[in-house]
Amino acid sequence: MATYSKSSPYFSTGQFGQFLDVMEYRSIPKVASDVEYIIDAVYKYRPDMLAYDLYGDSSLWWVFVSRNPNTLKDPVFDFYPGQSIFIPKKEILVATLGL
Amino acid sequence: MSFNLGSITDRIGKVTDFVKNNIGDVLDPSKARLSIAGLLKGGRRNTIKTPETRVGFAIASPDGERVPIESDWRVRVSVGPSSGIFYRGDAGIMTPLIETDGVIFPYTPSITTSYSASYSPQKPTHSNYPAYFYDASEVQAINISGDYTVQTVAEGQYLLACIYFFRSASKMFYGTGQHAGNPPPVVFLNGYGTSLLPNVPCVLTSFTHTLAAEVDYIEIPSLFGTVDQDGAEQTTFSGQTTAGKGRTTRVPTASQIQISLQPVYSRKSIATFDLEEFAKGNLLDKGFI
Repeated sequence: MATYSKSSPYFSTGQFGQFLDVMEYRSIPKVASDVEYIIDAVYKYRPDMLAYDLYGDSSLWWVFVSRNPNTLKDPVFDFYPGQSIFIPKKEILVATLGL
Repeated sequence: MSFNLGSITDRIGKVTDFVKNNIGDVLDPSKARLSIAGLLKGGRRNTIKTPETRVGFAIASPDGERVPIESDWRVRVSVGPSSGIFYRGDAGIMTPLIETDGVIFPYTPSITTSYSASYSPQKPTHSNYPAYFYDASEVQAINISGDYTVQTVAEGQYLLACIYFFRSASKMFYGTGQHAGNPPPVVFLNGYGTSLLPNVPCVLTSFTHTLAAEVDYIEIPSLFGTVDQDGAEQTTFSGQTTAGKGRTTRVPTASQIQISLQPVYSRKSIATFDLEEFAKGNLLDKGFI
């Protein structure tokens, strides 16, 4: 049985054999130190690239959706230039996700 | 001459640090992207002030403070202060022009100005030399050609605002609207201080924007006027409205704008012209060139 890494959105989700249980949402806490960022054209539809640039791990693409659930309904196609989101710091992710 | 090895080592160290901190950003795509976004690795805001020209077009001193628009020596085309049109009214897509009070050319443009005096030759019969009789003098159209580059959303929106400004300035007020029936507006040309292009009143006679095929195009959200719940108009990013995303525009990362401005003076101002005063530079405040 495959196991998901700590940077995966499915890490907390249970598994039955080769099947996944109902997804257990991994929420990212909202803290005052989060940086507000208006998405630039260079990151259009590329949350993975922003995650790589900020945290050095493109598999953390989903943390932006998790931190901004009201803004980013679609993790990729709501990630367009001009969209305002909050970015969690790496320390918060390390502490929350146990990276 | 003394040879100080320590000093040379220090200088080499400084050069190495400079290369690491600056050139390294260019060589590392990840750092370059974060630099454009104003972010740092780890999810922090880059608090080091980068040159404002990267995003804003308003002139700023080296410490980042805004300085009055009168101190801006860049070439600028604007409308009259009390005209209430274009960016001086309900700016909409021309909102980026407010902070620069008109269109500025971010790179030094090429400007050609021709002054001519025409004479009619009269050739008396059996003469070797014609006699020239003065007709009139003229300041011919000022041709300006400038480059625009777009690397950020703000720069793209500024280019779009410039295009709409010149498109609009070449048209008359036709059909509906409070100014309907008026000809295209008079624009004012400034640049390089107070004496070279001293707020010259002009009309726009041609505007050319070249969309080259060999450059990249980047997508920017359009600025446009929307109506909020109270019915008041507001300008915002298209992606932040309830109307949702989608109103975007692709603009070239490098393009060129060419305009021709014909200086025009009212009959009233011409009546006050005095060549001797002009020669002394005393008519600069009236825009005579």
